[in-house]
Amino acid sequence: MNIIDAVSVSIADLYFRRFRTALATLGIVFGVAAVQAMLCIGEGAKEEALAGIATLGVDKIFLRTELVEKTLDEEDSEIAKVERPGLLLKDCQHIRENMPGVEHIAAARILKSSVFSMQGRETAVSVVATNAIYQQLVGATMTSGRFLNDLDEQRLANHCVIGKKAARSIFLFNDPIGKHIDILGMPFTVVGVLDNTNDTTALAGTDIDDVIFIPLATAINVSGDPYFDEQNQPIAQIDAIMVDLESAKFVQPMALRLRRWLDKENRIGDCSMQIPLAILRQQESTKRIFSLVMTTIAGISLLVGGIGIMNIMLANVSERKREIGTRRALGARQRDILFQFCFEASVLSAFGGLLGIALGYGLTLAVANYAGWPVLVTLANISVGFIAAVITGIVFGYWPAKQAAQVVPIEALRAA
Amino acid sequence: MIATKPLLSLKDIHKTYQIGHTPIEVLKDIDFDIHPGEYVAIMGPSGSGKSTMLNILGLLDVPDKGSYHLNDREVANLGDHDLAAVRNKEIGFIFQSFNLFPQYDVLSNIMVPMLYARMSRQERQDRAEALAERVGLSHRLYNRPSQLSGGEMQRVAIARALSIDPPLILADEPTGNLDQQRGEEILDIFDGLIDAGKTIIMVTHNSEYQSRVQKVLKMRDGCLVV
Ligand SMILES: Nc1ncnc2c1ncn2[C@@H]1O[C@H](COP(=O)(O)OP(=O)(O)O)[C@@H](O)[C@H]1O
Ligand SMILES: [Mg+2]
Repeated sequence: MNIIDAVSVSIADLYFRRFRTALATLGIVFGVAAVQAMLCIGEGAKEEALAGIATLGVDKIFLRTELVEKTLDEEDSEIAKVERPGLLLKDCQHIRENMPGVEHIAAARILKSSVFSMQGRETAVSVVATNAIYQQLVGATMTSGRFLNDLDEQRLANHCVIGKKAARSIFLFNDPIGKHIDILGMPFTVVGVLDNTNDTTALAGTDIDDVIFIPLATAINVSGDPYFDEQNQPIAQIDAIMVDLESAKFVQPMALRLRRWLDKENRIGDCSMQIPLAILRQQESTKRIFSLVMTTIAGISLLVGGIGIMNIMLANVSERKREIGTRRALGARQRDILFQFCFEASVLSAFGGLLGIALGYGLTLAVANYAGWPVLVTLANISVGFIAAVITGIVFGYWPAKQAAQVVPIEALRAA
Repeated sequence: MIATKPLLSLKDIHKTYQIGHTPIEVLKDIDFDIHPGEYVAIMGPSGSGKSTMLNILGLLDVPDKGSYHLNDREVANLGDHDLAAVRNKEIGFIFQSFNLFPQYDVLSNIMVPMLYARMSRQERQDRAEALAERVGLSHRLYNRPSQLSGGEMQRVAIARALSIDPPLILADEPTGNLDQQRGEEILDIFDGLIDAGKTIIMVTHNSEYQSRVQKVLKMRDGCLVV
């Protein structure tokens, strides 16, 4: 009996008891559907998280000022600012000069500013003052024009680079290059438009596509903050420091060093540290736990499905004693009977597996469409559930099949 | 009788069943030979051991004692593998209640022994169609047993028993569930098989059939009576 014969025999046997077959596969169907939906949804979530972290970069560390409120017109924060200045421009210098592995370092100040276009239309866009190196640090690309450069900083130029979305909302479909935008009461000339990027870095929450970048030196100059102290150190306050390290292996030592340094200076509460690599590690361990829980749930559903199959197969065997006896009388060996019933159980579970895949796929699509979650449907995700179903069928079908094979022919024939 | 070697010979066969603690001797000291081409009826009252004897002949049951030679070899103590092969190739078994597979159509029912003989799909198809024609069921190939009459079902069972072309046909009251006319039809088919050289051993209650067979083995209380 070749495989095609075996399959067609099983299908005929199962189809003959189709209601029972359908009931028997229910457990497997739901088990497989659950496994598959969870895999696709879980993998999708993982993929998205990883993509997010990958753009942040696993070889970067971000520092953010936590204490100082940037609104300069409130008296309270003026005091707070004096007492605890948060991150300063000279910190960049200190990090670059005293800690190993720094490839690029950029500072940023986040200005909360309403921007008026030259046509007088008001649009709220966040303004970020930063260094030229920022572009390289986050790997941003330009749609047109150029990013800020060192010359802009040296000359305290009133140049700005504008994100794609910001460009759209301020200039609609006109070319922004060369046009002016009022920022902090001064006109800034647009020198470049940024392309879409996923970067959100230390500018936390601000969508880079909706940001206007101006030179940091210009911003400090315009705001009238003291730039240098008595020792000629740049003490201008900044909101963020972005450190790009030579490789991911510098991340851990750098984080330790930064923490020790901030602690020594008694500034540990002034700023927060964001380490994408650590977040990645965290996510990986969360994922491991998720996988474990998922595997357990999948295992339990398949166990329940398997017991369902065993139950039905045992009923089949005791009900089909006469058939078994007749088959033996016609020349079936014990192993033919064993094979027949094992095969029937696996065809049954494979059938359940297929239905489960269809149901799981539907669930996955529903989640993707209605909840808007990311999902990842791969052949691997689909086959895991199916293979698990077939293995379940064989494992739980074996014992009933063995019972069938061991039936004594003459007693089987006497059975009603 | 013609001086051929017997197709089968039973020697000193005993069979005892245990009912509770009381053993009952169902077969006692059974001794006989059947020659190729013989048409034999086993007759006797209910409970005299006819079915038990036929089951032993069909290798579905094992005697407690004695020897059973079939085609010149001892078959009483073969392993499962060889037993299955002998049942498959050398014996065609026909049951009183047909024992067709309800889930298959006529053609597939006839093909079951051929599956176990590992015949090719094409050969199975050809043979099954030819056999269906031989028992007059060419128009019923794709019907399920539930759509057939008793007589038709028994003819399917005969076609199935003949599917590997075994020399020996064993039939346990093949007409027991049929009316007179359907019974006659089965017997007519048997006549044809005898003409084709088969050996048939048939258990029957119907004394009218005595005249149609060549030899009658009468049984009473587990013994052959001459
Ligand atoms: N499995 C069994 N267990 C106990 N007694 C049995 C069994 N099979 C048959 N018998 C007994 O053996 C005797 C002969 O049975 P059987 O061969 O079927 O007779 P027949 O076919 O001539 O009517 C009967 O008394 C029956 O009750
Ligand atoms: Mg009987």
